[in-house]
Amino acid sequence: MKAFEYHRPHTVSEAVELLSRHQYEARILAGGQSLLNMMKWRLAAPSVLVDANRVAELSSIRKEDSAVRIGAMVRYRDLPSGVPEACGAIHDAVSVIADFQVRNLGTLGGSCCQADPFGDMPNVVVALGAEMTARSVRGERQISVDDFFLGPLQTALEPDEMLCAIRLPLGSARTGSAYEKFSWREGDFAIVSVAAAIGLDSAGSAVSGRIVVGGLGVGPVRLGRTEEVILGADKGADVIKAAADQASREVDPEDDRIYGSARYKRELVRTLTAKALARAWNRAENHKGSATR
Amino acid sequence: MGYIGRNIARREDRRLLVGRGRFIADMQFAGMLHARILRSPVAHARIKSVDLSAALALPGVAAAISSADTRSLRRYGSRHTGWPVGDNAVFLEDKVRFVGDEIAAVAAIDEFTARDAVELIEVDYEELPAVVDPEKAMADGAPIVHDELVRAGIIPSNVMATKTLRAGNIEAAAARADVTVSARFYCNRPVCNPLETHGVIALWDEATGELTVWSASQAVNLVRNGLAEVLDIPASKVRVIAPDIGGGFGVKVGLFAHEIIAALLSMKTGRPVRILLDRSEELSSCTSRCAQIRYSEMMLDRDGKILGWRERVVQDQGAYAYSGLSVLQMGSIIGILPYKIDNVLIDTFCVYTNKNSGGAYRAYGVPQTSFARDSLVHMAAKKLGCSAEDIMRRNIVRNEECPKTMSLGQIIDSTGVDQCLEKVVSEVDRLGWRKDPQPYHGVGFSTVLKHSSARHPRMDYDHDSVRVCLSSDGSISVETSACPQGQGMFTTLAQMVADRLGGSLDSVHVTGGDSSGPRGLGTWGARTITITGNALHRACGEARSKIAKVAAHVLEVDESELEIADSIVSVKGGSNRQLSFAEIVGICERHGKRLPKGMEPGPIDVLSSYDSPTSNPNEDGHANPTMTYSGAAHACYLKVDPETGKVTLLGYIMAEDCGVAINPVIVEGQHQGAVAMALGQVLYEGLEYDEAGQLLNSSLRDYYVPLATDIPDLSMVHDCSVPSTRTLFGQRSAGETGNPPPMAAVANALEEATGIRFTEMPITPDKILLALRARENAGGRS
Amino acid sequence: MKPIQVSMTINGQAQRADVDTRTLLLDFIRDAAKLTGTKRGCNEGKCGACTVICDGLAVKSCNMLAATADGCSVETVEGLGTLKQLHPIQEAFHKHHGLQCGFCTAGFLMIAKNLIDQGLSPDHDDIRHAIHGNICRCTGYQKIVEAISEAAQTYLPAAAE
Repeated sequence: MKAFEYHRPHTVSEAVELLSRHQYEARILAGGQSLLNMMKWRLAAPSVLVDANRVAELSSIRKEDSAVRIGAMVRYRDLPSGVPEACGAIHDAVSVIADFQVRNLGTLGGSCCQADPFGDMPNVVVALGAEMTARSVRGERQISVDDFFLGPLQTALEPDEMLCAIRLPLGSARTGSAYEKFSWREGDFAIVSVAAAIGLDSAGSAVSGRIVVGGLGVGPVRLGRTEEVILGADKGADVIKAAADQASREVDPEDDRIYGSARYKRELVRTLTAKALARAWNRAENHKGSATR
Repeated sequence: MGYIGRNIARREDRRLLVGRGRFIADMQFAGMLHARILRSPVAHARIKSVDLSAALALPGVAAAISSADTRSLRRYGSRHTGWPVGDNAVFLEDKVRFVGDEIAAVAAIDEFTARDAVELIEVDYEELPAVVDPEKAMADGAPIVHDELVRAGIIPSNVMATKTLRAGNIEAAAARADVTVSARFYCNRPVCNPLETHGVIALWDEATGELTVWSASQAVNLVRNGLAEVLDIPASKVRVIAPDIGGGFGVKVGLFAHEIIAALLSMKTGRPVRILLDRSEELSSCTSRCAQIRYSEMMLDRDGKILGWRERVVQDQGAYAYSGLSVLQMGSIIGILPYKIDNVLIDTFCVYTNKNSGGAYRAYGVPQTSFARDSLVHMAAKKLGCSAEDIMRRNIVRNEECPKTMSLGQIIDSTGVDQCLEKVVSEVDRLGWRKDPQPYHGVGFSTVLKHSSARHPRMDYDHDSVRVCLSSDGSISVETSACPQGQGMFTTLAQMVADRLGGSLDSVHVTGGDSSGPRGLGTWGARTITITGNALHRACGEARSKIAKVAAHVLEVDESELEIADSIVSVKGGSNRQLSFAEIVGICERHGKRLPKGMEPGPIDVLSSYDSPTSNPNEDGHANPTMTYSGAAHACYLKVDPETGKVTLLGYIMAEDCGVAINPVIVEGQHQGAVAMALGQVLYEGLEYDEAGQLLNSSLRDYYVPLATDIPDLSMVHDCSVPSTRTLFGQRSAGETGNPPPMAAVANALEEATGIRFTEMPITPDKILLALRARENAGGRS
Repeated sequence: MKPIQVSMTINGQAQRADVDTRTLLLDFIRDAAKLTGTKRGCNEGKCGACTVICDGLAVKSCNMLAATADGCSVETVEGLGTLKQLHPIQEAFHKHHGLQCGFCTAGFLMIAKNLIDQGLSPDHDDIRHAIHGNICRCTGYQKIVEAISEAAQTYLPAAAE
């Protein structure tokens, strides 16, 4: 690590004040499970580190009208108990992120701000159509998750802004989501991952759908044409297969010398899309409070 | 007798369990400096200049060195090559030959400062084209890795050595064969990756000219001799100590640059200097398993008798020789066992490339050959319409044929390998693994006979020493030349001492890992249990006979009337006439008049060494490089996910012959560890380089060591031991035998599961799934 | 950069030191508190050798700044048993030959203790899953799993506290 000045604010106001003063020189330290390694490898070298671990207001999960608001510093391990089952993809992802020790420190907000193209949570929040709440001394703003991830390790946050919360819409009664990831070993970064979310009308036809692929090295990628395949469709093996085939055509993976050729990753996209979509669809159908067929 | 063969709980454990182990990183010295090495970011370059001034100007920096400080040093590595000069030196010839090669080093007051200072060193590189593919490295016009050795006429090109091993008449065998199977096999480049990285502390005393070095080393005497030679100081003034070592597996054998660098920095500053390599250095810059391309061919008659074995082997040696030549030769000679093959022709080529150097890695070169051997057995079985185990049975050496000299000179003294094979086959059947074949499930077998000590092909010595000394309280100190790294060797050796000497186990204290102790080559090549074990047998035997002689004289009986147990010498037949070891030592040391006539008063203090009755290869490569051979047969049961290519290991059976097992639970732990490492190699691991020689995986995040969730239950270990007739306790080695068989056992199980033969390790999900898809597209079975 | 003062409780003892801001929790434990039982295996949060329990949760101490742990209560391997009186989990590792070189051992003991305290079952598959953040290169994991399984049955956290 390069030397840095350390601050440990207790409020968001203090934190954004520091960001405002130091701009690009400063970084927020959340759970530290990615940033500290980047600093050890000298891939990140902030001269001011703003440790958010004592900012209590960022650690709560609140139910709001038709949404759940997750503080940016909520640890992975605390997500399952606070996030409704309707956000199945979050639950899926927590159980495959790294290991127990990392889940005890790593945070949802930290993972989003890290925007690691191989990370789990960026895909999931995109699939869930999250709204990201950012604050700076200039005020608070909401950023649609579709505009939040700009590329590998890049987000829409301004240098003086801090991510404070992730709002997950709970949507209509019949929604479901799922996350599927493939890595050689348990807990590794994804070689390919797919997050899927689907909303059904009372007749069981898909009225909304989001399919997001990760692990391809470019950040979460929404597959628009794959989503079109499922919109308006009724559940069935055919539609899931058609969507999976479309997904494997729609992605543009690169050859990776170690973990997988482009052809292999296309195969995984097909397999994982089918699995994630099928599970999301089942969950939407079984969503509590929804009409039964 | 009473301790050998018992599961005595390890004496090493307690302090390690409570966090009181003392590893290099745990040691502190007043005024100690922390050093970091600047390593090459490029694979091949001439270093035009190194500017240390900015680093030296940083507050807290005590010293910095580059090639300007090392030009007068002697080269090292000639012991491994047999050449007049070695191919290695610190900052050699102002050139870097792989990503991670050393360029300069800084010593500073703390790690932070040392790291900051290393970043301030300015280096002017003249990049040279890198040679990464060993077969391309053999071609005319390829970039030359060691141009200085070529200029000096020591080697002609990147091909640093060739050697042909031959027996019988391979052409005649080929003509007679009913079936021939062949393939190109690739053995990958995993690194040992002990949990503790390499580390060293050097302390130079200018007043006395003594250099003391604490190093995480498996071979303190080799490091001591190497340091003395390179630094040109008397070996008598160099002491190397190995404290607790956090795993080795081969990668901590021999002299490494960081040991010399720490010594140089200590000499320059007059202060203790510590270097701890970080994980990326452990991966990039220490040695790796010798990667090999083997074009292997097996000839058989229609009954499944193996008539001939022909190979062309290209070893991707990397930048420096280390023990690569030895790995290549030993692995080829021993790896074709346990089958009786009369006609053999193996052409070997050891080739320099711009990569991490090949070196010692658990089981040396045997896994490389074993992978090819038992893959071909399985392929031949398909052609012959029989089972792989039929061919194995038809050709395996049997205990009733022993002692037997095999075609390349390997002498099998006795063996349980034939029983091992029968055991795993019957266990597989008992468990019903093949009863109702399910899609994408498969079972594979492999066998091995592996060395239990390793005479280096270019060294004419292979010894260890043991000093046994009794104190006046009767306690027994045993100093050895062993440098264990987790094998529980001090528990095991203590059991051997207690039985051989008749001492109580608690009174035996075993030490090692100190070059001021007895001389010997160290703990590697599966040699401690056999070579140290035999030296220990001798030393204890001599001490015991002195004890018996004194006791017989004092008790006025014939020696044959005595029995010795639990540190008491007593007259047989229930008499209460007895002497304790303490009393006997007291008589020897302080009451010389009571000694038998002619016996010199003095302590019971015996130093014995043992050099193995083994041989170096002759011109046809024939040799018996080891005391004895441990045997094993394994079976692997797995399934493949046809949607992802992922392999799940469902079961694993080992049957092992390690001769007389001194401590069976320790032996079992060794087998399990060896198998897990091998499963990592065959399914996940290996350094990967791009075309420019850039290392692509130098962190544990992208270099995949198997986790607990990747390893199946390994509790099925069957003991099929037959005592060795050449070792003095009947013992054979246990630490490495488990390592070779998983390679082919997995590949064979995969063929059963998928119908596809995989010949390149690691066999990754990517390779498996694409092969399955390619076959579907070709209209094969789905 | 000027040092910062960090205080925490380690195994019940107050520890305080002025350290470089870059100091990791691992460095603080080893260098400031002089407790070297916690090991650095990879320094990148992958091998788990540096696992300690911080405010009741297992963490990899190489992936946490000492400053972040300021004011926390930390348990390390030195807080388990003693040479004379091993903790039941340590006893199980000894009995089952759950360690060879011993370098990864503290990390396995601490994750095992933390998860047994939270009700880890003795089922081998569950245990393998529980320890997948810790690497051992010596044992092939078999005897570690067996040791933890026994400990999960015999060690009752409530009684031990």
